[in-house]
Amino acid sequence: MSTERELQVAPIVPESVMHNTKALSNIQSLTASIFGVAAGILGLESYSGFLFYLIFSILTTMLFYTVRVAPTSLKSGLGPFDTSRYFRTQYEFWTGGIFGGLAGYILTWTLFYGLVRA
Amino acid sequence: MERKWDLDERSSALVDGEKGGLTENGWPELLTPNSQLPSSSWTRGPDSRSLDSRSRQPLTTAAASNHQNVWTGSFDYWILFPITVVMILTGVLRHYVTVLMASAPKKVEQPAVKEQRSLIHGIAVRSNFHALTEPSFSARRDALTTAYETGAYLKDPDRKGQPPANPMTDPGAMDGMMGMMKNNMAMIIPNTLIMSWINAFFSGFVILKLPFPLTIKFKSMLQAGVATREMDPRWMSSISWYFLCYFGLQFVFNLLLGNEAAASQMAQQMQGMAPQAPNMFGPGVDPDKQFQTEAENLAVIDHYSVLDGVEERLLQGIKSK
Repeated sequence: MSTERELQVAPIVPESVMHNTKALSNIQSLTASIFGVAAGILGLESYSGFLFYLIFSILTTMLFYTVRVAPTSLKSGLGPFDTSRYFRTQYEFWTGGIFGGLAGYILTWTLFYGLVRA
Repeated sequence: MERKWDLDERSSALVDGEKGGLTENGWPELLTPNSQLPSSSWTRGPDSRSLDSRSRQPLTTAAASNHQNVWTGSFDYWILFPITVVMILTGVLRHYVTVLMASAPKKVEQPAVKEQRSLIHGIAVRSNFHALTEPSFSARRDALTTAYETGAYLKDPDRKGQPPANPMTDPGAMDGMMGMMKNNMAMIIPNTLIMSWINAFFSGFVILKLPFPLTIKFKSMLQAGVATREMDPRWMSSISWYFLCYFGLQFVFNLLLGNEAAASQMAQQMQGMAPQAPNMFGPGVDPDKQFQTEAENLAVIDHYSVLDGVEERLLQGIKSK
């Protein structure tokens, strides 16, 4: 059976996909700006700042997975770290937020770095 | 307060911190540079780290101009916060202006609606054929294909085969363009205004230090209006704070306006950069050609139903439990 026919037998609801993606990108952009505040207050510079962002945004995604995705997804027989029950691609889930929140992170990071060190 | 500068001597002026206090109304005093300059405060060196961030940069735009007014004190709050607040408020205002300016959908003539809807009907049948049984799909296909090929759904069947009318002469097309223009205007006018406002009031101030290093190429972008050659490109002027706000304030709009509004703002920002997808019913599109294409698309469909073999699938699902 081809994948196209599988999709037709069990169709994906675009509204649900939109809602899930929106919830994820929302939490990513908000937490990214808060991480920016934290990094600015800590006075992180250059690589350590970006590393801070990378680690904490991955941590946020991990928490999102364990709290919201994992309970039902594991129960339905999917493997660990498999988000296909709620998200279309794995790539979108794990790395989409990193780029989405970067602009907000840099903004608040710069602002609080400037304010605290000034 | 000891101040160290690694600036070029011909560059802008600086003022000793003790000389410039705040005036009674809280605004930093305007001082004439080069008058009370202790020569000891000049240090020249490549080490930009000696530039203590506590000594705010009383730099001015034109190093060549004779009468430079220099601010001292922590004036950056008077630049940072106005710009940020104005950016946020403009975003909110722009959202409501677009909402208010959105013109109600124009009343379309019945034949024109028929033309559009029948095409959409064809597309819907083509993309959802698997939900139909074989006889009902072929009945729909036959009816649609015949109607498409004879031009029964066309707005004015007499014009079939003729080139489409000039979009400039069609009043309906002009309306669509006006709507696009309005949206673009709501984008361009505030941006131009804010940029000229920042240039008029705050140009030449170095207000913030980026927390990450940049190459020298960014200097002309970040320090526009600050005519110093040896300053670290990490220091940024007020106009670059504007750009940082422009791209980074998305999360604020997310909070303030809700998701849809923020998404539309983002889409508008992107609109300036990416070319638009061609409009399906836009001006200059020949509906007859669209109908012919759709008839061909319908004709080549190899029909099957999702219910083919559903018994086996059901039995397998029950057995595996």
